[in-house]
Amino acid sequence: MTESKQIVKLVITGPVNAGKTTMVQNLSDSQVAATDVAATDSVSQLKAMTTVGLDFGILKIDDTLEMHLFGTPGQSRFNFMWKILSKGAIGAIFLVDSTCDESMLEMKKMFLYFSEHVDLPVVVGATKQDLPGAKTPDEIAAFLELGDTMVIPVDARDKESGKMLTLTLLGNALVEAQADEDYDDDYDTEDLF
Amino acid sequence: MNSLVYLRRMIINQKPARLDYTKGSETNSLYYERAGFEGSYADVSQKLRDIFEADSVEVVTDPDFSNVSSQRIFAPQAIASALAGYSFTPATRAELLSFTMRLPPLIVRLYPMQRYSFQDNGAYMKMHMQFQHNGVLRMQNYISQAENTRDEVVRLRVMMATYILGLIAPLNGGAQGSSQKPQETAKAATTSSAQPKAKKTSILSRIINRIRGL
Repeated sequence: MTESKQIVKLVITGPVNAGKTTMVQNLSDSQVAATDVAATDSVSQLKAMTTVGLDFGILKIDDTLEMHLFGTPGQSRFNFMWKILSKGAIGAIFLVDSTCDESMLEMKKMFLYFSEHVDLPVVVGATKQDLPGAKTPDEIAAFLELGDTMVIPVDARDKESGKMLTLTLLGNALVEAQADEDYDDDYDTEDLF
Repeated sequence: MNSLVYLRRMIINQKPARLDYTKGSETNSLYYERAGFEGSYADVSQKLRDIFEADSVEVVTDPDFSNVSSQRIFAPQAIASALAGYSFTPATRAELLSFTMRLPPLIVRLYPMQRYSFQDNGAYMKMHMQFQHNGVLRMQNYISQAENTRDEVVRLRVMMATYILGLIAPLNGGAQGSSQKPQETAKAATTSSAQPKAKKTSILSRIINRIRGL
């Protein structure tokens, strides 16, 4: 009899043109199902293609666990999707274009909705920090009124950078998770002491 | 965090040993003898920091000391020096948090770390007070009670120092690392032998290990 596979989700979200699709691709070990189409609205001034559905990738953790990565569309009008996306999710990564004021304003709307409706560990990745006019992580945190949420510079094109951002989120999630769990005195510590 | 496990064993065993480690493409060694690490302060501190972040670690007991200097840095002093101002990459932080989740209920021993310029001695004292107050220390609680990112870094450094130096031990028996039999070569054990229960912390630890290896 085969053991059933457990699936957890990681949501990568944020405004248009922040690097979400790229990050999903970098973290997945499967072919990513992207739903990019030619942009028609104001987004066409930023980039030729934009995500209209969900980017989807899979990272196999081990024989019994898979992490499914979801990259959401970058417009706040898709906020309603959170209800479905957050179910079984271990956390959310917001990516925001550090150089774009419109991106910040959209991010503010998205993050406000997230804070009010979703209870998940979260980190914010500030992309395009290498470009002129980029706001610093501290400026972004202040502008977006992020409170305790960590803002970390990230190059979405760089796999290593994406890994570091994800590990930061997972570290936060781990601390939150242990606080929620009952004590288990059945520790396997043979190799520790 | 195999490097912490093997540093602890070296120190607790109190026998001459050599720790070989690889970080990135570089392989190096750190010798331990007469309760101290071989080398200058700066050298030992840097090596210990590299060991904390090493990709692989191997301990060789009874090594040849003929070609090493006679300079020794007392272990508590060396650990205090290596941890002074030490901050973590997200990968190391995640790994340390995973390691912390595996620690059982603990006892905390009081040791005059302030004599060795341990920068986080105040936090260590508070940890000990917490232990005295409750009769047990849950390291998971201690870490998660951090008030901010900086405080979390300090608490993780205290965890590292106390673990490596044997100042924390399991509350319920089998605590003494000194009962460890010396081994010719101790290969790093895999951390995947953690609790089989599919609890959220276990799931997150597995994901962290996988992403580190991407």
